[in-house]
Amino acid sequence: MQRDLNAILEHIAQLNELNTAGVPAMAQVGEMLGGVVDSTGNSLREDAVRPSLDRAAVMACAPESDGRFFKVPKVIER
Amino acid sequence: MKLESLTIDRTQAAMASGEMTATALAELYYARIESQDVQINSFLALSRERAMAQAAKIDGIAAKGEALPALAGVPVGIKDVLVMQGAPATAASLILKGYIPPYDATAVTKLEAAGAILLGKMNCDEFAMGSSNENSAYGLVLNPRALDRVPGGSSGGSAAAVAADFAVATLGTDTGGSIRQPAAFCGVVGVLPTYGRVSRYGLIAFASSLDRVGPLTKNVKDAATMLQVIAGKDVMDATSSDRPVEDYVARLAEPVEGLRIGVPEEYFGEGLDEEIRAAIDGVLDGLKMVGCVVKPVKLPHTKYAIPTYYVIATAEASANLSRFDGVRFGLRAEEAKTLSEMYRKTRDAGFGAEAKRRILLGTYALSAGYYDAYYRKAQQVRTLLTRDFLAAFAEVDVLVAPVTPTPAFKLGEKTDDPVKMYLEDIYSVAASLAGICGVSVPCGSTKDGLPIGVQVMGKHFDEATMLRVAQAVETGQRSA
Repeated sequence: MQRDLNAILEHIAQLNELNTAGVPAMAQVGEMLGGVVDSTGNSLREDAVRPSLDRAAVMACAPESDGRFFKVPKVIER
Repeated sequence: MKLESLTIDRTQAAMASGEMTATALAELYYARIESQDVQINSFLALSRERAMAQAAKIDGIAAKGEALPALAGVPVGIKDVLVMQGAPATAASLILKGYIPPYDATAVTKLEAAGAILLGKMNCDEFAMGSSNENSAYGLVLNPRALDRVPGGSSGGSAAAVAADFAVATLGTDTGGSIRQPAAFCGVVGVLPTYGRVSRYGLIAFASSLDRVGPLTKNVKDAATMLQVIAGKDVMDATSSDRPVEDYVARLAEPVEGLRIGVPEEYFGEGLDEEIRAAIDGVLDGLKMVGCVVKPVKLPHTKYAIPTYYVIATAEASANLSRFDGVRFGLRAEEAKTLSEMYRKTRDAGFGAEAKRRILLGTYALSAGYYDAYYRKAQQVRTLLTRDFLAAFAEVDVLVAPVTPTPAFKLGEKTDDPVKMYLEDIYSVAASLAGICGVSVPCGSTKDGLPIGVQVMGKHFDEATMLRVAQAVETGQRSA
């Protein structure tokens, strides 16, 4: 694992060949296209109450649950 | 009915004329999968009950003589990183073992609403991380065109199933090449839609700024039909675009004459297989013959695409995969006395080697002392890579390039060296980072009979033009 990670980091070090001073960082494609999410909020959905997934169905996916909460081993040690 | 020649419109026509029922066709596919997929291993789960209920519904519509939807009776497979209510969703990882999601991905809902029969879930690399499908926790997938070779990855099962006629079409996902590369290796068509064109709701996230959902099919027209069905704004995915979806199928009829085809010289350098180079030269000659204007273009930052990708994708993966903690779904390690011990043991047992490697790398790249050197740097180079494409697309309508440097490689050939495996994505990751659309189209085979694919890349949201050129390539192959 260590050998692999070192090899990958070495490959990634190539990025240092580029001078990126003043180049904006890009986190999302939309930024380059004038915004996928409209800044005026036009492409956001209406803030309305909508039905969500059934709680019982969601809780049933958990390894351990009492139907209302997810159960986990103790968090605080004495 | 010969499954080999079954395309989407032929299936739909057979349903409409009464030549075949959806129920009988689904049974035919299941019989074929059960007898032959033992060897290929493209399916991880079959969703027979849901498929047969949908088939009966389609047959009911056909019996009444009512109009059938675009995908009526079409048997499809869903890559196992997309959730389907009632069918196990594993992302080919042990950490999701036993998880049966209570909802459908939007793309899955849309396919079924259009009449498709959902046969089951397709094998893939764990969390879609890989280029050979060798990272699945549930076994290798063999390439149906050459059984000693990988099918590509990460959508290896999705590509293999179309190539082996276990489904008429499948859904895959592509983060750095995971639809286009296996499509090329298996000799099928695979589409990477523009980022935002298809909803990611219900996709188990790997790298959210890169992940896309797209179809794998036998031909370009089927790909256009599938894309038209799954594309569009979804209130459940804020990054989905509200641009209207074009009629991709209708637009295939427009001539390609006069279109400007860019050939990025950086994609034809050292390391490209000579037979692939020759096949793509043939494609370019064919496009010239039908009136396209072929000209060289430059994408100067191409060599930095792989390192950029492996910083951004792993950083996002390290954040996304933190949700797998043994609390809400999937695996939980037994015999843990404290919460932190439970997390540690669950993740140690549940994640495979490649997922661990990428989580560690991504966490490192995002850590306080290294954030600027790695993550921020990569985000800046991502801007440069995207600007390269925007500049090229000011001069041409599409780009034509290889999909992969080599044809399908042998099983086990690259598993020892992750950097070598990552370099497999050298011609596919730049389009992923820039958010543009791309398609892999078969364009011949090597002297050993291995499929060769060519990549057509289009402007953001210009799938229509990209698919027209792809179809011209396909037509050229048929007449060659």
